[in-house]
Amino acid sequence: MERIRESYRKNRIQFYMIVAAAVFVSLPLCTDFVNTGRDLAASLAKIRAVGAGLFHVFPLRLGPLPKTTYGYSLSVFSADVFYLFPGLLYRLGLGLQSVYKITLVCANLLTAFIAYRAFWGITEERDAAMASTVLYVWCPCRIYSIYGAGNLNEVFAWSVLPVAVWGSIRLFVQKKRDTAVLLTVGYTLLLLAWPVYFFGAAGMFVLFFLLTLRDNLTKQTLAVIVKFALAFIGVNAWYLIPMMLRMRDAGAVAPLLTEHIREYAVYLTQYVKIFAFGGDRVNVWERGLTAAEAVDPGIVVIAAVTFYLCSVFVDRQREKAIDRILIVAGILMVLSSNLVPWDMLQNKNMLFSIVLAMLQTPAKLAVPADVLLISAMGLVLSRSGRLRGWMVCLGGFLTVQFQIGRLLTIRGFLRGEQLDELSQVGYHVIEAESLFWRAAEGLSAVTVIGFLVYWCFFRHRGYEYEK
Amino acid sequence: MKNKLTALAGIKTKLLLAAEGLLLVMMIAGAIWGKTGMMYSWPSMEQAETEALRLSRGTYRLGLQYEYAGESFNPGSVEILVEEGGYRSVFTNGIPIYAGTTENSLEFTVAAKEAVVRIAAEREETLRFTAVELVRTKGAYLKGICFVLFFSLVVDLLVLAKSYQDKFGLSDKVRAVCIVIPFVTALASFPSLTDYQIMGADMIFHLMRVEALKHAILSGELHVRMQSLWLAGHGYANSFFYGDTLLFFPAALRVLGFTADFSFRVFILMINLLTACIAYYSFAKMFADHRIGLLACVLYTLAPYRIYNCYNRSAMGEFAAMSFLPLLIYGFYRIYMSDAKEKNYRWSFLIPVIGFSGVIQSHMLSCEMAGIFTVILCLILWKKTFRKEVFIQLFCVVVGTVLINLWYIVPCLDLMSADAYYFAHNANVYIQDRGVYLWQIFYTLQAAGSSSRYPETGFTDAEPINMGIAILAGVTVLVVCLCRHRKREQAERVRYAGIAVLLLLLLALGMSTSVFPWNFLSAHGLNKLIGPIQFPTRFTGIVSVLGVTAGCIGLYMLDVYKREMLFGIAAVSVLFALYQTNDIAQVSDGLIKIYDGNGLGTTAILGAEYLPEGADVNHMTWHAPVASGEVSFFDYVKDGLQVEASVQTGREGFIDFPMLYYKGYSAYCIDSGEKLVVGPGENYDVRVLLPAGFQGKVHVGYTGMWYWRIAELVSVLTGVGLALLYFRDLSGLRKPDTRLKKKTEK
Repeated sequence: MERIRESYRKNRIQFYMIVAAAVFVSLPLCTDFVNTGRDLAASLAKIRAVGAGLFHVFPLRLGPLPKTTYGYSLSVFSADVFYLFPGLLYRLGLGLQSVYKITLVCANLLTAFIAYRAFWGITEERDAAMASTVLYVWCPCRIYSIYGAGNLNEVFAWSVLPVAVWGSIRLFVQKKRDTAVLLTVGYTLLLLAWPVYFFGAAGMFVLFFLLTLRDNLTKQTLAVIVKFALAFIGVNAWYLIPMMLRMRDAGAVAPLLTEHIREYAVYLTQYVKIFAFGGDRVNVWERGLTAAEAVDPGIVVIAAVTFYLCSVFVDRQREKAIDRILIVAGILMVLSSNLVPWDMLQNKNMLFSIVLAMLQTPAKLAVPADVLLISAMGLVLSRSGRLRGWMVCLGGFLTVQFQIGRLLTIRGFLRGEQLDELSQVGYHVIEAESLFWRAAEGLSAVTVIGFLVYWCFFRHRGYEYEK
Repeated sequence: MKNKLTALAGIKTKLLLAAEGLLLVMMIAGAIWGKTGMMYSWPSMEQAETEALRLSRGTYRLGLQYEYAGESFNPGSVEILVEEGGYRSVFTNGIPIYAGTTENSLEFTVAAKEAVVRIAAEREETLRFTAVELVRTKGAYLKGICFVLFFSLVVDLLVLAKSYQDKFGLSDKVRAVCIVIPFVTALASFPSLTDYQIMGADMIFHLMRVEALKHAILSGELHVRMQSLWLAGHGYANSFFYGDTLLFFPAALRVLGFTADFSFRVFILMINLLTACIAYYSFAKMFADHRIGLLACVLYTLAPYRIYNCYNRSAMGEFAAMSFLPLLIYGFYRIYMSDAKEKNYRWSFLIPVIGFSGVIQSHMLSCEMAGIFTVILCLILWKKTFRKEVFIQLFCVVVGTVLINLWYIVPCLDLMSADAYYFAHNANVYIQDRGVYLWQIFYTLQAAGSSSRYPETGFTDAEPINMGIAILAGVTVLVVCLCRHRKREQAERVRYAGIAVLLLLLLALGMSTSVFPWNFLSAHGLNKLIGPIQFPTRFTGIVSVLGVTAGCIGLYMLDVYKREMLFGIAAVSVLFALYQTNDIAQVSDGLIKIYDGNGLGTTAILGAEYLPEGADVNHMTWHAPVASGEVSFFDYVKDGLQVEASVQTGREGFIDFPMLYYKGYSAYCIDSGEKLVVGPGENYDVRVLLPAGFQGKVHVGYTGMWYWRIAELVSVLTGVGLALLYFRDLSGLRKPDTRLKKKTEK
C-alpha cells in the first residue's frame, strides 16, 4: 500500500493528465446515442452472446452463425476473452447501450494507465511518458477504431498493445534481458484481445530482431526469445491449437480474406494527414483518399519525429535507439501502404492465404507503426532540451478535438432499441469440444499455474525507473 | 572543388555508383533486347470479347483497324477488361471509336507479374474490326531507365550532401534551405501524392494540352505549333494563344511512356518545387536574409489561392504563372530600390524579363494583370520612374521581354488580328458579380470548398479565394511597423517599398471583390480589356504575392520578437495549408485516373476561346474532303495537318479539307509548284480554290508565316546574346572601365 501511495505521490500530475486525456476522448459517449460503425453490429452481438453464455461454459467460445459466416467474428479466430467484462455487465441487467459505453470508458482508462506504464518503461522519464500516453490515447487511428469502426476487439487491443511494444523495445533496443515475462504478458493479452493486431506486432518483433541481429545474436537474447516463445505457446495453447487446426480448412480461412488485398492498403501520405475528417472508407481503389479512415498517429507525433530528423541533419544529434525504432516504424508504414504488391501473395497457396488471413488488411500494420512512432516521439521528448510535454499535449488537444467533432457531426447514430435490433446477429456459444481442444486447454492451465508460481515465489524485482 | 569531390569518393560511393550503373545497363539491355513485338493478332473480331489473354509485366499497344459505314459520331468503344489482377495490376482506360477514322490504338501497362485480360468491344452492328493486334512495346524499359536515372540522381545527391557535410560541413543556411524547400513542396503537393488526380474544373483541357503536345512531338509537327490532335484531326491553335513551354516536361514524360495521370501529377510537383525555389530566391535576395526568404517560400507556396488553383480549378496556366510573380517583385524592387551605382545594377532588368517571360509562356491573362500592376507601380513611384537609370532599366524590361518572347507574341497577335475568335465574346460579359465579398478578405478558414458562384450559392461551401490568415498576419505586421515607425536610415528605403506594396495590395484586394466597379468600367469602353479577365477573383494571385511581400517587409522592419514572429507565421501557414490540402484530399469526390490520352476525346476546348467565329465544334468530325461541282480528287492522304491529293477540275472550284482554318495555311501544286489560294470554307474548314482545268497533285499544309520565323530568330538571338553578355560581364572578361580610373587619377 505504501508503495502505491509513494508511486501516486510521484506520478500525481501525470495521473491527472492521463485521466483527463481518457475522459476527453470519452466525451462523445456523453450522449444518448452510439455512433454507427462498420463492426458495431458484431461487437454488440458478441456482448449479448458472451453475456448469455457466461457461467455455462469455460473457456467461453463463440461459434459461427448458423447460416452466414461472419469471418473474423468467429471465436476460433478471435478469443473474445475481453468480452467477459461487458458480457458480465449485460448479464447483470444493464442495457446494451450502457454496457457498450461503460466498456469504452473503462477501455480508455485502462489504455491510459497501461500506456503510461509502458511508455515510462520505454522513455524512462515521466514527462515524456505522460505526453506519449496522452497522444496514444488521442491517436487518430485509435479514435477511428472506437468511433469509426466500432470494433471492441480493436479497442481492447489498443489497450494492451503498448506492453508488447515495450517488451520488444526493451529486449532489442534497450538490451535488457529480463524481458521474457513482459513479452509473454504483452503478446498474450494482445492475442486474446485481437489476433490481427497481434500478428502486426509479431511482425514488428521479427523486424526488430532482424534489424538488431548483429547486436542481439547472443546466447542471452536467444534464451529470452526461446523462453518467451515457449511460455507464449504454453499459455495460449487453448486458443492457438484450435485455431491452427481450423486453419487447415481452406473454407474456414476464406471468409477472412479480402478479395483484392492491395485495395485495402493505405497511401503513405495518410500518415502525414493532420485533420482526420471522420471518414471510414478502407478501400482506396475507387475513391482514393476521399473519406478515408484515419491511420496516422497524429500530427504532433509526426512533427516531433520530423523535428528529430531535422535535428539529425542540422545538429547531428542522433540516437541509435530512436533510429532503430524509426526504421522499424518506417518499414511497417511502407508495408501497410499500397506501394507493396501484397496481391502477389494472394491466391497462391495455403500458407500465404493464412498469412493474409491473419493480417486481414495491410492497413492494420499501421497500428504497430503508430505505436512505434509515438514511442520515438517520447524518446525525442525525453532527450530534447527544447520540446516539453505540455507543448506536445497542447498540440494533440488542438487536433484531436477536430476529429472528435467531425465524428460526432457527420456520422450516423443509433439509440437503445435500434442497437438491440442491430445486435440480433445470433452468435452461439460452442459447448461440445473435441479432445484436442481439451488437451490444449489443459496445457494452458498448467503453464499459467506454473507461471504464477514462478512469479510469486522466485521473482521479486520490478522494473524500476527513476528520473 | 575537384579536390573536394575526390575527397568525397569512398569505396561505398564507388559501390553505389557501380550498382546504379548495373541497373541502368540492365534497363538499357532490356530496351534493346527485351521481349517486344507482336503478342496476339486477329484478322477480325466478331465477338464482343476476345478469349482470356495471359500477359506478363510490361507495356502494350492494342492496334485496331476497322470499317464503319453508319451515321453515328461514336459507334463504339474498346476497353481492356481485367479478369485476374485487381488493384494496380493493369493501368488502362477504354478508347472510343470515331466514325470517319479507320484505325486507333490503346496503350496500357501491366504492372503485376501477370494479369489475365480480355479485349472487349462495345459497338454498333455496322462497325467491323478488320485487324486487331496486341503488341508489346519497349515503354516499360524506357520508364525503367528514367526511374533508375532519377532515383540514382536523388540518392547520389543525398550521399554527396552527406559526405560533404561530414567532411567540410554545410552552413546553417544551406541546411535550412535543404529542409524547408522539399518540405513545403511536399505539403503543397499532398493531394497529388497518390495514384489518381483530383478532378478540377479545367483538368481535361490541360490533360488534352499535354496529349496534343506529346502527339506533336511524336508526329514531327512541333515546329508549326498547330497541333492536329484537337477537334477530330482539324487542329486547334491553342499553342499560339496559350503558352505551352512549361508543358513540355509532362509531354516529354508522356513521350517516354509514362501515363497521362502520372505525368500530370509530376508536373504539379514540379511547379510547386519551382514556386518554392523562385519564392525563396527572390525574397532572400531582396532582403539579403535567408530566413525571410524561407518564410516567403512557405507563405507563397502554401498560399490558399495557389492550392485552390491547382486542385479546385485545375487552372494549370494560372498556377504555373504564379510561380514567376516573385521574380517580378524582386526585379522591380531591385530596379527601384538598389543603388544605381552598384556594379550589377545594369543587369537588374533581366530578372523581370525572366519573370514576365515565364508568366507570358504560362498564362496570358496573368501577364495582363501583372502588366497593369507594373504600370500602376511605375505611376506610384513616378519620381523614381523618370530617373535616367531607372527609366533605362524599365525600358530594357519592356524591350527584353518583347524580344525574347517575340516568337510567341508575333504569331499570337497576327492570328488575333487576322480573324475573329470566340474569346472576343467575353468582352460583352459583365464580371463584377464573380468577385468575392468584401469581408472574405478577412475570412481565414482554408476549407476546400466547391463553389465560387456567390450570386447563386452565397457563401455556402465557398472556395478559399483569399490571401489566408498567415499572409494576413504578415500584412498586419507591416501595418503595425509602418505605424510605429522609428526613423532608421537602414530601413528607410524598405519603408517606402512597404508603403508602395501596401497601396498595390489594397488596390488588388479591391479589384478582387464584387465592390470594385467592374461593370461600370466595362460599360464605359474598357470591356475589351476587362472581359477576358472573366473573374475578378483572379486578382487574388496578385494579392497573394503582394501580401507575401508586405509580410516580408513587415518582418524585415520588425525590431522585436522577429524570430518568434517569423516562426509563428510560418507555422500558421503550414497548419492552415495542411487543413486545406487534407480537406481537398478527403472531401473532394471527383477522382480521375487517365492512363492513355486517347480516352480523352478531342473536343475538350473549354469555352472554345480560340475557335474562329463561325466554326461549330459539333460539326467537327472525321470526314473526307468536300469538293465543289466539277472538281474531283483521288489518292487523298492526310498526315496530321499535311494533306495531299490528286485533283482534277473542269471549271473553277474548290475543295474543303477537314482542317480548321487559321492564318498560316498554304497550298501548292506539287507537279508545277503553282501556289493555290487558301481560305476558310464550310464550318471553317480549309478551302483550296482551284482554277479551271487544273490537273495535278495538290499539297495543303500548315506552315505559318515567313515573318514568324524571323521573330523566332530574333528571340533566339536576343536570348543567346543576353546570356553571353551577362556571363561575360559576370566572369570579369570585360575590359576594366578606364574612364573611372582616369577620373580618379585626375
